Amino acid sequence: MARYLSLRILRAVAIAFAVVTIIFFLFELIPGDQAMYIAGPGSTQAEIDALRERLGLNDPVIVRYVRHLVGLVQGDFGTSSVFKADPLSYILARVPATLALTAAAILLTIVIGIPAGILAALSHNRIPDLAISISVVALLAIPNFWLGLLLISLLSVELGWLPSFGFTGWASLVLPSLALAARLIALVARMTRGVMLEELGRDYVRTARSKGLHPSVIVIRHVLRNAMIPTVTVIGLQTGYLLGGSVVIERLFAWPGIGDLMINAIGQRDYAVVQGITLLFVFGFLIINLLVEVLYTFINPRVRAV
Amino acid sequence: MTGATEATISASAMPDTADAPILRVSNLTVRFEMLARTVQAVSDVSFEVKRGETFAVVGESGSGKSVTALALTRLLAVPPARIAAGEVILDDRDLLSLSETELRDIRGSDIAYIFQEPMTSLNPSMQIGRQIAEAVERHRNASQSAAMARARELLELVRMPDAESRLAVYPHQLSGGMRQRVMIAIALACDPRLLVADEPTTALDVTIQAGILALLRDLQDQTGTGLILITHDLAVVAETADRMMVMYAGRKVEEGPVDAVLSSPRHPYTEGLMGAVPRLGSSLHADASKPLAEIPGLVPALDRPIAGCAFAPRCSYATGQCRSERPALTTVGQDHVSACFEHARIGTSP
Ligand SMILES: Nc1ncnc2c1ncn2[C@@H]1O[C@H](COP(=O)(O)OP(=O)(O)O)[C@@H](O)[C@H]1O
Ligand SMILES: [Mg+2]
Repeated sequence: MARYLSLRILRAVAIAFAVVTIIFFLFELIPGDQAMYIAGPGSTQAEIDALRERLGLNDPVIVRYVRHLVGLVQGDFGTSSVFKADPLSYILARVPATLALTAAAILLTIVIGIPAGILAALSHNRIPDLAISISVVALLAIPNFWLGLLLISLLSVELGWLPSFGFTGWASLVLPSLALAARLIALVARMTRGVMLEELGRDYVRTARSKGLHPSVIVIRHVLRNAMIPTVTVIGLQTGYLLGGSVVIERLFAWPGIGDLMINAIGQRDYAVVQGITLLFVFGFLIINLLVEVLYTFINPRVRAV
Repeated sequence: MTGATEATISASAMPDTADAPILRVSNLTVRFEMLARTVQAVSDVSFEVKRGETFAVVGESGSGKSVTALALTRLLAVPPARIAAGEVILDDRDLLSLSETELRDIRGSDIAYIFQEPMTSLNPSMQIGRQIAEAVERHRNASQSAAMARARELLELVRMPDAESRLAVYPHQLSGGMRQRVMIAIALACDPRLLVADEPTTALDVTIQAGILALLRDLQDQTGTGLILITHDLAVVAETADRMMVMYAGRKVEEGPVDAVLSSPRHPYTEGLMGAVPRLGSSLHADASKPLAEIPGLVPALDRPIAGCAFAPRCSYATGQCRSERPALTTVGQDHVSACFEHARIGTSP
């Protein structure tokens, strides 16, 4: 287990290194003088030149790349052109809001998506199954920003039930997390239904029935666990994509998270912030994948033995 | 283990109780009703299983053996399956008319199953000790720890080496033969009166088959349980069973004491099956994994009524009557019945 874990961590570090490299050289290709943005409008050419010299932007690309890597390892993300400072603290200040949104979306996925899938499978080809299957298709067909707009106009503007702008209390979390989670809820419901049906048809279910067990015991004790193995994996892997979706949704709901900051930063050519956020997303993604694998190993005895 | 002495005494000194059937199946008919067609997998099958006896059911793949076995305690998925007619009498009660709740008390307690596929018949994510213990807990008022102690005892009974430490093992950590021993332990958990073993060794290595069959025989001697043994292998029947039933296209075509049926089969289908077993009795290890005879021709489709005898198209004795009229079961010897117009000619011709 320890060997397995250290192998996974090593791989995560290698991927992070590759991503850092790609981002660095991509930014090299983007036109625009960073020193000009940092110096800000109204600075003289002499000031900009001096700044460029001071930041080492005139050095050869390889030198700057190595310095960049060394800086990152030491926690130096460069200088934000907007905040005129290390962007890390500004980014980290936005993390809790995004984490809250993501966590709420996952919670919704678990409490809506999984039970819906189970219900659909247990009522195979009957009314609840059909209703759920139709909802799934509808949710998958609607883009999440459009669903967000729909939720805002209906539940917030028309009915005035829920807030839809910024953070004004926990109720503010409902609409954005619903808009963010909708796709994943549908995906997980469909997946859970499929896996449940597959598991319900397996031979071990017949064995359980031949013991005289009650159907509810068979589902809870035998089928659910086996069905949850792939389902948990899908939720975990999709959690990374929730981060991407949150960029759009945070903008839509003026949610004070990282995605909102990211869009502002792109608009203001604040490369240091964009880079810091991208790296954070990458690490978030890798950490989530790692957690998923650990969880998977924990619930699936066939992997644990290896 | 009072059953052991009881069984030996009753077999000799008390013929009345020994001959009393524990299970009586009459006119069982099972259909699979699907969108496009209906398949009648079992038609009008009747038989009895007596206390402590081994009753073998043989026939080619698709002849309705498994469906018959599963129908006894209504383990078939409904739909598509529907038990269209028949009775399954256990203790004067017709299992087919009991409620699901009442049936659940019988499954695993009075009638237990051993299935063919030891690879998939166990839950892959549950320790085998739990899988055995839950059968005990279900029918005995046993605490978890008492049930686990019983599970350990059962693993020893099925001769699982190192039983104590195997309790916490998952199915994938065991070989096929060991998994089948776990299946047997589950089936024996509540001392059932009737064991239904559906091709318990077909999926296993030839070298392991003999061990599992010997185990089943020993356990049956100890416990006096009745055994319905579904098998592909006539050599196993010859060695293990007391009486046998031959099924073809969902129907019983011959039934009788094993000695009588195998020494003088009275149905051409039985005779055909025996073609696969060169020397009965001596061939258990020779060819135990080989499926039954290669009888020329195909098993008929079961989605429409068959005029006449279902076996006629493949039968070298068939006459015009066989093709137009279905032969009824008739007595051809002591406790020996056959559904063949030409039963007197079997063994005499081509
Ligand atoms: N779930 C099912 N749905 C439809 N047909 C089935 C099903 N199970 C069995 N059958 C049909 O019933 C017939 C008998 O099958 P079975 O009892 O499994 O044969 P076997 O003698 O090999 O055990 C076959 O023709 C098979 O196609
Ligand atoms: Mg079968």
